[in-house]
Amino acid sequence: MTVKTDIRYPTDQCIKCTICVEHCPVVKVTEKFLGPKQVGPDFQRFRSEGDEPHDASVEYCTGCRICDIVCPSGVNISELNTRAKIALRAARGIPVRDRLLSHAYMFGDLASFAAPAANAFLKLRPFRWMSDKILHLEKDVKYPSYSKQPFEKWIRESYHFESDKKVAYFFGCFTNNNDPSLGRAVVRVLERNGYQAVFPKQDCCGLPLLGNGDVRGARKLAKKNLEGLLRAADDGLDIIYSSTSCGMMIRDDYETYLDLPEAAALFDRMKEVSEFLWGLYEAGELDTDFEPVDLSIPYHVPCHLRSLGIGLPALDLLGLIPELHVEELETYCCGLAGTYGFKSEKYDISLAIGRELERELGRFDGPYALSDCEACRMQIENLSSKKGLHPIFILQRAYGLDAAEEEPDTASEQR
Amino acid sequence: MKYDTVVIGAGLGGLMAALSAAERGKKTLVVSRGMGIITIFSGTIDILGYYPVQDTAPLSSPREGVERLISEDPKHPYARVGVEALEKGMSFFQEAVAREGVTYVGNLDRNFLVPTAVGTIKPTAFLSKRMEAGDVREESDVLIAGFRGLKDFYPAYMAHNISTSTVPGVSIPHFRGRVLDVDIGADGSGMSALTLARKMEEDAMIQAIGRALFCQVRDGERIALPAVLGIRGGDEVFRRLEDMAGTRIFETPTLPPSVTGYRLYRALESRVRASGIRLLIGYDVHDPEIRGGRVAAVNISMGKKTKRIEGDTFVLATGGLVGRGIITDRKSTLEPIFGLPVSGPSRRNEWFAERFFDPSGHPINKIGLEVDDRLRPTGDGKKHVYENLFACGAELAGYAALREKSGGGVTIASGFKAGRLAGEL
Ligand SMILES: Cc1cc2nc3c(=O)[nH]c(=O)nc-3n(C[C@H](O)[C@H](O)[C@H](O)COP(=O)(O)OP(=O)(O)OC[C@H]3O[C@@H](n4cnc5c(N)ncnc54)[C@H](O)[C@@H]3O)c2cc1C
Ligand code: SF4
Ligand code: SF4
Ligand code: SF4
Repeated sequence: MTVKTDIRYPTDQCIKCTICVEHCPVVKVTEKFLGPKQVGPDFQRFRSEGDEPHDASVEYCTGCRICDIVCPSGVNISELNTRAKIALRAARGIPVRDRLLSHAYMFGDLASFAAPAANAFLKLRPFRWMSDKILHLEKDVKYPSYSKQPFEKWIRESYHFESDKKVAYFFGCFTNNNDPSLGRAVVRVLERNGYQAVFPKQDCCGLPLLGNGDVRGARKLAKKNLEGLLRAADDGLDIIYSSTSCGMMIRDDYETYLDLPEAAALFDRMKEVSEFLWGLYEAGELDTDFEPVDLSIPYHVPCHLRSLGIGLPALDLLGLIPELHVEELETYCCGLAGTYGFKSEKYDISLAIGRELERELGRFDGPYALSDCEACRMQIENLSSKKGLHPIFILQRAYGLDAAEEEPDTASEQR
Repeated sequence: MKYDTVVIGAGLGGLMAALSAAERGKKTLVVSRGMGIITIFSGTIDILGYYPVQDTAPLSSPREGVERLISEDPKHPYARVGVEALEKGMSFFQEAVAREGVTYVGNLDRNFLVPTAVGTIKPTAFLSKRMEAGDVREESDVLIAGFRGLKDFYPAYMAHNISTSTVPGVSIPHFRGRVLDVDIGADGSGMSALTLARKMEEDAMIQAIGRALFCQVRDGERIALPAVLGIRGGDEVFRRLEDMAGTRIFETPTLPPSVTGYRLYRALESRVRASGIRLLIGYDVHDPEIRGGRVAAVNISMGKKTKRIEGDTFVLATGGLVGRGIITDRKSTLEPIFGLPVSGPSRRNEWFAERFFDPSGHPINKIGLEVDDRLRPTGDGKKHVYENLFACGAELAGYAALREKSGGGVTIASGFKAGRLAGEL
């Protein structure tokens, strides 16, 4: 992998103000992590390209990117951390457990053939014991459950809408395997606005692999995805995504970490689903014939949405629905952070970070909470009795689309 | 996307401006590259500590000082803002944070004199109620209690420096420093004040510290603790410790990152959200669009992603040199978004006074934007550059915030006034 030589440059811009330290969700709950300033710009000055990082405490960085956002000097701290993690993994190897977690997508393909069996397996004692003792997977966490009818199967069998106006949809492996009702809601809302969704050939975006330091594996998946996505972009299609993490991975990280400059051609085409719909609204093309939704509902903004730089389009969009009251929570990270919260040595940290979200959720009576990220929704369900919903479900309901028949799939299940 | 008022910068100035614009019913956006100085600073709001600036005796009445200053120094931001906006702005600020459980006490007619963690004595007009008992003019002696393993707070060092400090006309009571016999669970690298403040919400921790304080404190002493008594607003930890110790306690802000600044920031952020203001952090603001003498829109970017934001009015709250609201290169100093000219020494060799500890401070610290009475930047001339662009906070020219101890006051008053004017246009 080539390291951009200029990435060290902004470390000189660090004025040592410690604002990043103050807002890092991990520093807030554990001293095992030295914090963004120290493992980021401070240590970076002693690293040469590809060197093993000085302090393995960088492993505790969740990659939430809050530090980048709050830094008044524009230091790209989380990028320094991610590169250090990659170097660390290159030097020390990737534990079996992390490989297993980050290959959940493969497991997912298998599991959807036999969803009930997979779900039962995840709940089985021997698996729990093995995962605890040998793999150091956290046994108290809820694992996502697998759906009987993957989204791709539904598309093949039941999606027939056609139109001249088309968008490409990257739905991602979680939607496909674990929450296909989200995919269905997205295409229905698009359909209501006259757009046909087409589906470029796709695999897992690779984020879990990258998050666990497996650049080679992530790159392999990325290349598979790029084929179809680049073709869609060439055809002049917008590419929408309903998972903020997938979107960030494809739009930004393919180019930044995986040495795939061709991914740059996707940048202006990639649109988060609410961002796309808000664009229609601003052009006067969104169907705004909404039924009132009399709900007061909390909204947890995923950190990866904050770091996409697209504002908070779901909030703008939901603001158009009569009687609906959506409140943005003051939470910056839910703590689950992809596969982070599934690791036993990090589970307590993950839960401790989540306390803030838990407290905030406790202020609301209703049964739902919104978030655009599947991991956040899982964490919401881990921490409270609320059901986590993607904002698009509210839109689906306000359009009066199949609300009765289409209950969202359960994102996770208690053991 | 279109807003009535767009505030650029999320420091103390920007948040105040947004709150006061929103109070006038405006649909308001705050957009900022990062968070402001307020999140790390000591959390005292200085109005005016010294005037004239080279005086060694602190002002006893900030109000009288500000009034004199306004008549003698028409270029000072207080002369643009006025005492009325200062007074109203401060009450507006106090009410806003009180609604989030953070109580600020003080007024324009007296300065507190409080000890800092490095053992200096600082005049300031408004502070968190939890710092109130620290005034050195009170006669009772002080036990400074610290914790083994806590970074950035050293009781013996603080006590020693206070014993060598002098304030004209004040006899400073005796301070002694002790490290409490309490295991806070710090490992080798030391614990930050923020981590300890979070732990402080555990019952067992409060019990252990309360007991240790009770054992250490002598009759008639007050107690100084590092500002770690809970991470949020609300006084429960504080009250319980006072009960257990049997005497008055005050918090001393630690070095950055400081819990007092964090609490204040979070309180303002909650208020901003509760007021329906949209807050976007992590965005660089650049390339404004100007039409007919007005700012029509700005562009905001995170990484390669750029969005255009329209507004009726704009408030520039991007801070001074520290927040990079003003930048310098070899040839010039500049306000980078609108390219507004900056007042102050133009050449580098004029930035600093000859002596490092020059009591009048260094010219560089007065660098900033000149504004008219409606807080609109005037550029080189006397007339405003854009009809609907206001400025506030550390961005303003003509004052040495840290030297004269006026930063918080100028920032809150100008933020409040800029927001109100923007909200009325
Ligand atoms: C270290 C320090 C400690 C201080 N302590 C105290 C104290 O204890 N008490 C006191 O009363 N005063 C204190 N002051 C003085 C004064 O209170 C602060 O300077 C004041 O908080 C300034 O607030 P501000 O909002 O004007 O600027 P800042 O807090 O600097 O905020 C500026 C904001 O603008 C953003 N920004 C800048 N450029 C752009 C751009 N192009 N696009 C988007 N966003 C941008 C920055 O990211 C930042 O968020 C202190 C000052 C400093 C420097
Ligand atoms: S916030 Fe930015 S400038 Fe401040 S310490 Fe962190 S990296 Fe450095
Ligand atoms: S990316 Fe998140 S966890 Fe990592 S250092 Fe930054 S703020 Fe902390
Ligand atoms: S799951 Fe959501 S909040 Fe949690 S780390 Fe990921 S994006 Fe952030």
